[in-house]
Amino acid sequence: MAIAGAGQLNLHESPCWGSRSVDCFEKLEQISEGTYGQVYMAREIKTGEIVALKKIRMDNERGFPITAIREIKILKKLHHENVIKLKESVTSQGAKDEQGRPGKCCPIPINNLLLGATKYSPAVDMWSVGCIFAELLHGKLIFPGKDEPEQLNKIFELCGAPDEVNWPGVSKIPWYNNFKPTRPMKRRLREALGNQEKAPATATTRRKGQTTEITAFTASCRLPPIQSGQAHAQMRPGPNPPLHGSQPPVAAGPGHHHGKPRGPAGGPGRYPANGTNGGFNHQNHGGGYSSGPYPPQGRGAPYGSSGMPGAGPRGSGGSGYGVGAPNYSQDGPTEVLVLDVALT
Amino acid sequence: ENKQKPGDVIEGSFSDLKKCSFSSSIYLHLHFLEIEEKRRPLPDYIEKVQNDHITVNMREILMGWLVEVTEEYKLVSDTLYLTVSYIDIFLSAHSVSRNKLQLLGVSCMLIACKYEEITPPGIDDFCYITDNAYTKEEVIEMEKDILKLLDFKIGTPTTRNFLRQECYPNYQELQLEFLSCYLA
Repeated sequence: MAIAGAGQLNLHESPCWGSRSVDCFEKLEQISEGTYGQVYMAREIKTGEIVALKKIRMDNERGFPITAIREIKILKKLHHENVIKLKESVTSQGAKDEQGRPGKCCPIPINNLLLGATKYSPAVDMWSVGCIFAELLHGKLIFPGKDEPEQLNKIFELCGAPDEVNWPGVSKIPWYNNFKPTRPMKRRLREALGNQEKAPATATTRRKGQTTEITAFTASCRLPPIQSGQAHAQMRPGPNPPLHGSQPPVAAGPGHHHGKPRGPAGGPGRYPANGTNGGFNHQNHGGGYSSGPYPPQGRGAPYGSSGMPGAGPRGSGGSGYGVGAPNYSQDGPTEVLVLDVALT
Repeated sequence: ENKQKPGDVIEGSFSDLKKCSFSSSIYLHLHFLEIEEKRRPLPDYIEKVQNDHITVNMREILMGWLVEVTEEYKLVSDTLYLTVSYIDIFLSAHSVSRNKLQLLGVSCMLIACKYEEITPPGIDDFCYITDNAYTKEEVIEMEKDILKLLDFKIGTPTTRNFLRQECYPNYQELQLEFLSCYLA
């Protein structure tokens, strides 16, 4: 078996799946430890090839974890430079390891109902989608709470505290009174996310003029009377989002339009004056985003530097922005994050 | 079988929307998956693959037993259909000895439960229901073989998906009818 060159894999020469033992590899060091298990840098003894080994804990009660089954299936299907390639799966005594090459992976969000709500609905899923996009924009977890109260607090800090005005019926939710914030909180999602300059590169790529509108925060902001959700059951320490009213620490580059003053950005009359800020439509008509110097962003992935389409200055057009926000708003104040998404 | 499934709630609230905008693409996708060669069992695997190991009669007994297990553990019917499809796909590829057929059955059901159920029974429960004919390790080993064969694609469309898709008003009856056809 030949040694793969840098950035390449011997994917075609892989032995039969699951036929080999993990002893074919020599563990060099632990790279990280995730929810599912540890990840090691390892060398294949025979070929010297450097790979990442991810150990999947076999649940003695349940066998192969469903999350791992899904992960393997999806990884086998995905072919993208920013996504790890799954090369082989090997076994150790009673355990199953996965072998691939380091890449970037998004944490998989897990829906959850908060405040004692018991009913799932599409709105909960929409919330999750919104959280994923927000995370892409943000470069890190947006609600890194380690338990339900903390999680809720993070959400309130960013999305504003729910009350009967912006969420009719919220006080009837079982645990609302227990978790009700003690001080008023304003919505500051736009400030928190709108200033992430790498946002355009990741989430607003246009393809064939096709615009997909993702109503990311609709569900959460409308906060339908029965659901709320959280996106991340995984816990990772992350810095708190910037404080209220303060300018986010990220310096705006030239031509950066996100941080424009709050106000009726979404158009007059779209948002009732009830305390929710401006709006979350990126009213960025025309070539808005320029690639100014991006300050370092914690563990944020260097989007824009990896040949991601749209990394450069946004060209002409801009027709996709803020156009025709989906009609989700019949029954309450709604803020909508409109993103162009490249569908590949 | 009368258990309220989470899917039904969404289905109910979404049914109008589903009919008008997503229905056809969902159907097309399911159909696309269904016609994938690897996801289809051979129609004549009993003769071609099993070489007298497994007979039609034995399959029928296994299916009947799995229906009972489904009821015992109050599993949703989707789980049963999924189990049956895994079994048929597996038997189309591998010859299985008689004494391992039930092991195949419970291992397939274990996977289907993980895919479909909110609180899937544990391996212990499946060992128990076979009167501990197999050990946990055997079930896990079989699970591994099945997953490998399925290429980890466990979300395979079943007759149940298509029945629901058709939205027959009395699909409960139809489902029974279909199930009996399936068993026969």
